[in-house]
Amino acid sequence: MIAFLRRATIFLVCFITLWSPMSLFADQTSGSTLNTEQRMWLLAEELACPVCDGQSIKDSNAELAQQMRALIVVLLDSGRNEKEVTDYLVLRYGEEILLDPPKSGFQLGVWIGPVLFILIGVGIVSSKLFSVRDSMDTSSESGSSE
Amino acid sequence: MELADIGRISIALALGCTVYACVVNGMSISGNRTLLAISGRNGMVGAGVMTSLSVVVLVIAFITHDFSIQFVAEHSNKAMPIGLTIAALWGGQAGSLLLWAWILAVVSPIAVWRVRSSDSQLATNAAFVLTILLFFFLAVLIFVDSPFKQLMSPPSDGRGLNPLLWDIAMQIHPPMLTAGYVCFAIPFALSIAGLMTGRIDRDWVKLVRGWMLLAWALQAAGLLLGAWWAYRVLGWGGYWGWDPVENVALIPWLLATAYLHSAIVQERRGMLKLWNVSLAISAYLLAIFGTFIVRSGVLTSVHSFAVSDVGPIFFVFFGLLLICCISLIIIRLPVLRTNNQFESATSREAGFLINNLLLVSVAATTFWGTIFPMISEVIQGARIAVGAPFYDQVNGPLLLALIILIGIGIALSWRRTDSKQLLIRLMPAAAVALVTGSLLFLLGIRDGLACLAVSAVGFTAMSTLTNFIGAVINAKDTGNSPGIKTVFSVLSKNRRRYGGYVVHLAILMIAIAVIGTNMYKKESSVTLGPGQTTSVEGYVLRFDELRFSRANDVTAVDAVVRVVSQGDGIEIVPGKRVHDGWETQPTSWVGINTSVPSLTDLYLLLTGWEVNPQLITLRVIVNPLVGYLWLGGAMYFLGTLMVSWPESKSREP
Repeated sequence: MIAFLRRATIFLVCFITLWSPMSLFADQTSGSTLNTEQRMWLLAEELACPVCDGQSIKDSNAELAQQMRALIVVLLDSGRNEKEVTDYLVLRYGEEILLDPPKSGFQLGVWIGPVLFILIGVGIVSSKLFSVRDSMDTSSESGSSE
Repeated sequence: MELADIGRISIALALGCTVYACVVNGMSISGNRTLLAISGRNGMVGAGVMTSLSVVVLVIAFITHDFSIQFVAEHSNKAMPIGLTIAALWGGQAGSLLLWAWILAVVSPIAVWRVRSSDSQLATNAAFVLTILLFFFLAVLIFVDSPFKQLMSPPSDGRGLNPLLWDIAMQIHPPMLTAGYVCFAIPFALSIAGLMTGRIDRDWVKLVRGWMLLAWALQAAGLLLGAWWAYRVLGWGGYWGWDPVENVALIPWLLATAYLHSAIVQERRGMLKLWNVSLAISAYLLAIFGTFIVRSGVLTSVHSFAVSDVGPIFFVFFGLLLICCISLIIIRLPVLRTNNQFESATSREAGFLINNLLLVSVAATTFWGTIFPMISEVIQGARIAVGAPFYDQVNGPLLLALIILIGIGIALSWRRTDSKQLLIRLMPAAAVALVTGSLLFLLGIRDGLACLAVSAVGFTAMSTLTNFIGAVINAKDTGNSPGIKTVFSVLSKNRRRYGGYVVHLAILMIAIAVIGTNMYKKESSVTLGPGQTTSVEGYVLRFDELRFSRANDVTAVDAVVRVVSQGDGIEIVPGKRVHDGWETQPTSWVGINTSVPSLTDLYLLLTGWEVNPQLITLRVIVNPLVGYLWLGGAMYFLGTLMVSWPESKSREP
């Protein structure tokens, strides 16, 4: 039982450690020390160009993408923050320009999918690895081996 | 008789041969008659020959500029160089389907013939499955989208090839990717055949593994060439955009990678039968599904240049295959029972299991993200985008975990590893990781994720090296002569294992490139007049002049830019090309300068210019370490070659 708990803890700690970098990604976008152009490029990465097959307006050289980039600079310069600029552009071009799907509403589904899948996978794998071998000392662990 | 007629007749004959082979093979399965099986194999050879003939005919039509054939008229013209004219064969949908059918028709009899020597029943069953697959493609070529469709009034010159495809990578990338997709059919057929015979044993795994390795390598070649093409031609400074078309090509590769690892567990311990069969089958099904997505136009992508009505047919085909496979697996579940169980969570086989969990999670995430916009459109009627930020956030950590796992997995023993011993084995690697991390921090890199990722790469590289050095020392202890000779003898004694290590190191190199370009890519935009210099992202650039030229129906504008910060100045010439007849699609001529040894690219794109007075607008992108991607790609194939080099018979595989 102790052996199992120890291993399970290690497993869990590893997993959390590996997933924590996600928070680092989130922090990067809200830099206040950046200049307007740098802030524009960061924002441009997350917005799709409406006319160019899923490319971001950062990557696209289409005229509309260039106009949108210029518009972002103007809006940022007028004192609006990233969220307000994004909201404005979404109002104008529709929700389909959001390359980073919002973690709310219907789009939450795209985020839940992988989490569910990984949880199921972890469940199956740990039942394979732990339950059979430790059958003597893990009476609390119920998992089928199939 | 015209060329188009010969082409059509040969495809029809190929279809005839395929139907014959299919029926005869089917009869041979039910009656278990050898003569019929031989005749069935001959039928497959016939189909292969006839399909090859139709390809030859189409190539001749391209070379002789037979514009009475619609496909030739739409994808080539007289001004195109010969290499490109032949490559135009896969510049459109009907031609790439013909390419698909042709490779399948040629590879199938070879596969069946090779399998026959070890298990004739399996070979016959596989032949039956393969002929059904071939039948589908030939039927599409005849009844839905024929490359030999003729025009009532042939034009005097053709339309020419999409200028985006005027690139050396485009002459190799599509056939590679197609060959990869096609070769997944062999493991698929062998899986179905194995389920039919009920023998999913060690021999079966080995047979499938060889073909899976081939498909996996070809798919990787296709993906890497595609990335190289996108980087140099599409002009957005990146090589991978998590675009739907890229995603669907990546998914089978991920599943094949998972298979190649889990197959080792079945070979050694007889476990994971059900899992391995499912992986081999899914890889092919998802290849078909990918084709459906690319061809149907249900998703928009920068790569889907060939959209048409074959999409729904592929979808039906995919659905039928899926239903058949699932039913067959359910019927055969008893055969797939395992006799062994996992003994410890710190064992090599457990490592492989977690590896599979991670790889399949990446594949599933990618699949989910790719189809989610479709689901959204169906359910709530609104198109939404799922872009790179999603994949970076979900797949990023998974891939990072995978890299660390490579390092740990190598240090694990089969069945059970003593945890103390494991720690001792991993000590040097952990030390390297620690040193790398702190060194980066001292060098001023404050991004925790970058430090972590590079440390992970260092950890796994060191773990791989320690393991190899350990093997060399062991070999020396057992009486081998010391020195470089021992290294080679260790390498050649277990080519499969150390070839795998080379592939791992290649993946690490690719990871370095991905970390560099993803986290430290810099870009800005500058406007310059002649003779003006500007300092941008650490480079000093001077614009010299604009050059205009015209040759072979292509109008070109080039901006001569010098990097004056580096010695006497390196010339970089970004430009634009406009092909006659494709005026709405000007292509970028990217200017790239790679600095050695950091393999960092200065990537210049001409986005606008004025003639009087001369003025240019440049997009300046600095891609740190991107060259390691191509270097890693080359190393990947070196490793694959080592793995697949035939072992001499006496040795234990």
